Amino acid sequence: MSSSAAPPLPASGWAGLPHHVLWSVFTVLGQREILSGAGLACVAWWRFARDEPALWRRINLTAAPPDEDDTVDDDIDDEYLSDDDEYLGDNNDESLCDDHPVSVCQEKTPAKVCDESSGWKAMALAAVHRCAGQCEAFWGRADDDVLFYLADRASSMKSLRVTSHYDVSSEVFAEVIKKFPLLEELELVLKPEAWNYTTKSGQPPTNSWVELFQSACEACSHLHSFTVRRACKVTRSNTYYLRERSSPTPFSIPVMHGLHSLELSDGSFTQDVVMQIVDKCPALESLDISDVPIYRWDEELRNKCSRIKDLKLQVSCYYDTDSDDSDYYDIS
Amino acid sequence: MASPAMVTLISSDDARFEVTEAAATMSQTIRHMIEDGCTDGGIPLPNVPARTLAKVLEYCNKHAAATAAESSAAGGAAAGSDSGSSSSADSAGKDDGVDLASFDKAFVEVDTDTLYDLLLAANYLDVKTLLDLCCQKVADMIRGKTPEQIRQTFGIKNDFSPEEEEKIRKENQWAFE
Repeated sequence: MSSSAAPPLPASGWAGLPHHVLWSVFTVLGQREILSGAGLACVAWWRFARDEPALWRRINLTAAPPDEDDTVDDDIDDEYLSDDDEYLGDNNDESLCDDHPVSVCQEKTPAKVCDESSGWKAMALAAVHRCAGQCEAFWGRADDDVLFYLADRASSMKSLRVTSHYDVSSEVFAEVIKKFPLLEELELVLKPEAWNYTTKSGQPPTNSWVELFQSACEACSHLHSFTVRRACKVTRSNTYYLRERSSPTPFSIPVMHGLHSLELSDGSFTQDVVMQIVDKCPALESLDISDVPIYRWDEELRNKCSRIKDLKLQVSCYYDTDSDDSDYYDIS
Repeated sequence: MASPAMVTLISSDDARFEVTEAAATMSQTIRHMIEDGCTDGGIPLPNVPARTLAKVLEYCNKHAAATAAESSAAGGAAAGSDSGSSSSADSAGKDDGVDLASFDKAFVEVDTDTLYDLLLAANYLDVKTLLDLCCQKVADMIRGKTPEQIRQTFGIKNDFSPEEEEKIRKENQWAFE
């Protein structure tokens, strides 16, 4: 009964796992692990990871929780997948390279270290490339280039959860989002350095996230959730707000019947804009504008918002640049 | 017929296992064979050796028994008073859940050869929860490892040609220091 006869292993053993078993394992692992480990272990696993678009339908490259703290990348010259420059040891939160000291072909490792910041991006682009147009969700870090790349390859995108480290601009995003007509959920998280960043031209970035919202409402009729959030809320001397520009076009959105959750952060969401939003979103159940520096709340706005079940106001005002930092108005 | 219906399973190396139908039919493959009336003289499983089948059946017996206990507890609770008395059944169910979870955890604490056999057997026999359990275990063993460490863990040969290796290095620079 207790025969020790081993089953006749396929010649390739673990490498020869049936595809749907490998599918289950890879699905549990997630794309980050596939890209940095399992998908490079042997030819069979590599081909499976590369040639199975369904593995990449819901791309989640968000960092593991312990890696969430990141360092500031100074280099924004990004590389594409096809570039040959080597990426070595990015220390930011999107990289697992510190955990991957072993190379399959160390003799070929070039000594040159180019562009430390591109690792996360090459991964993102590779993941999107592998989806072969089937991507329905992208969660992870992105910049303008990644968004453009997605826009050309993910027309059935439903869920975008994007972290920007200073490198997503509202203008680009507002354009790109038009390519995602099926989008249901949009979350943009702005990392702290986004506010201190200056572009190569020396100019501070000027973003107007209300433009993105407007564009999303026009292009994505299925939108049910929209979030622009700063990763950590700054309550003092936030000069970022001062660099915001108001929207060049008058704010106007269609009635958004499906939109039920909104979190806004940005000085471009003025009181008038918020009033319009509340008017045009009859199904709104959750509204968080606690990070929107509305100068003065009046009864009308208060009344409009009163029907919303989950309402976060607690607004501070930053607009008076001459006064000290204590010029806050708590409305909650 | 006696209350627990029994079936006989025959491993690839001709060992015979007598198990309850409830345990055996956790395997969809076996369930279909029983439904097709292919049980006379035992059900042959030419892809599964005795050593692995014994292990799979240990899993199936445990889970089938837990399922039976759960449904009888639920039935007892439903048959009891309208409310109030169900808490004991609930807590019993929870205990079973904890018990089963620790059983599962211990069950896949095996060497990689055994895990591989279990994975293939669970796949062939189509025991979904066991397959999921094994896949989860494999994923846990892979997580955080470099390609080379994965190869070492599972005894996988690096079978990339020099050209392929060059190509994947270029395309996957983030994974290589």
